[in-house]
Amino acid sequence: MELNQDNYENDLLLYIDNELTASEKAAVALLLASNPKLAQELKALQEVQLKPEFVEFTDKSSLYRFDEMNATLDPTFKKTLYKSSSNNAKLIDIKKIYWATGSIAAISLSIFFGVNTLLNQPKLQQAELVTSIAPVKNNVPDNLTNILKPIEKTQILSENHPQSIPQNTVRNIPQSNQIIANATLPIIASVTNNDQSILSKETLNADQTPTMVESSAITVDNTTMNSTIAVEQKIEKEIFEEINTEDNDRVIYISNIELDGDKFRGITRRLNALFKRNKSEKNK
Amino acid sequence: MTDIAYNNAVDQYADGVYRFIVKNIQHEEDARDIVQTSFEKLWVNRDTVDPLKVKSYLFTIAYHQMIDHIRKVKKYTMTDIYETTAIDPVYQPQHELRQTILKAIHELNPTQKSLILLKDYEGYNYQEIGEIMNLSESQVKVYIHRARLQLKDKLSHLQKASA
Repeated sequence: MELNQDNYENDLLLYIDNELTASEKAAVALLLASNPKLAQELKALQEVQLKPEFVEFTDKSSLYRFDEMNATLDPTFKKTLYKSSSNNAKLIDIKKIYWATGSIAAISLSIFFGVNTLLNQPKLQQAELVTSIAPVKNNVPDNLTNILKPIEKTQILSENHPQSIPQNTVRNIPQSNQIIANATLPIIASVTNNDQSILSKETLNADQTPTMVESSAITVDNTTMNSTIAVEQKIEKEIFEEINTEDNDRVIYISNIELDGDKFRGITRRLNALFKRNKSEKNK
Repeated sequence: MTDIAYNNAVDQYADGVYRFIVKNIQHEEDARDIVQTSFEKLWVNRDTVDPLKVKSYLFTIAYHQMIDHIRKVKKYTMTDIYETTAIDPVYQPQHELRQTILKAIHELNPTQKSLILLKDYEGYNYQEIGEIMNLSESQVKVYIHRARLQLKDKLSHLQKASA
């Protein structure tokens, strides 16, 4: 490196800025030693250099940071904390569905068993009733037993309502009268027409007569039967009274399981209270 | 970068960054705020910052924060600074020279001032200064040389005036 009037200033500046290589520095130092003018120039430049000055940033503790201050959670654990509105809605929906299905199932079961128990009670009574009727029926004369059978059937079908029995008996009477009327009217008409036809009609009439007799017999017998049916009704009432005891009021039949009604009601009340409480909490 | 390395950086560079900023803007509170922000950014980006370039990272952040601050404030005047900093009851020829130089430095433009401060106080080379101030190495060299000659002329002028 050769210093001259044009480039010495630049090299001196690089020299004070410590931007020269070791060899360049040595060359400048050699030149400065032999050239006092250059040394003075260097001194002038060094004077405008800023001397190291200590300036303290007080309260460095305000800058200190520790990992504990910014403690981060494990990403996998963080994922468990993530929430989104759509997921929330789904969760609530599922819960609601569970509750809804559960409650529907409970209600349907209770209705099913409740209806079953209600239906079972009359059936039991009917079964007992039929057996109780049996000995009474034996006392009735043999010629009436055939007529009794249909009446019994209607009685059982009509669930032993006392009012329905006379209605059924009354219905039987007009029906038999209609048979008589239908049988007699053609005979009167046929008398004016043919002898043969009369004969044939007579035979027909002869055929009809037993039924007439029978139907008339029914009307006669029905009057006598009313008294026997009335007796049966009394027996039925007594049977009902025997079945509907106070103990049975408490008993609830769920399928074949016998439960204490009061206890069952207590459980249902508690369940109701629980549902109400949950509802009020959700509303809050 | 661990928290220990970060706190070591605080111990090592907080004073230097603060000096660089406070000598530039001549406002202690604002300088403190800029230093605080710079270290906050270092903490946030501690995992991405090269541990060997922590100091230059801090100065880069601080420098750009300072430029933003100067743009916002625009109340930067030389006279205010010297009214507060030039008070020294003891008369010393060396001290007088120092004050004259400081006065001359504060009359430089903000870029030249930062270049001189980074060069003389922090000892950065042209390349490093260029990285911090977003300038090319040759620009840094030219600007610093121009600032030095400007200061020399100013000082010689002042010395001649006082003599």
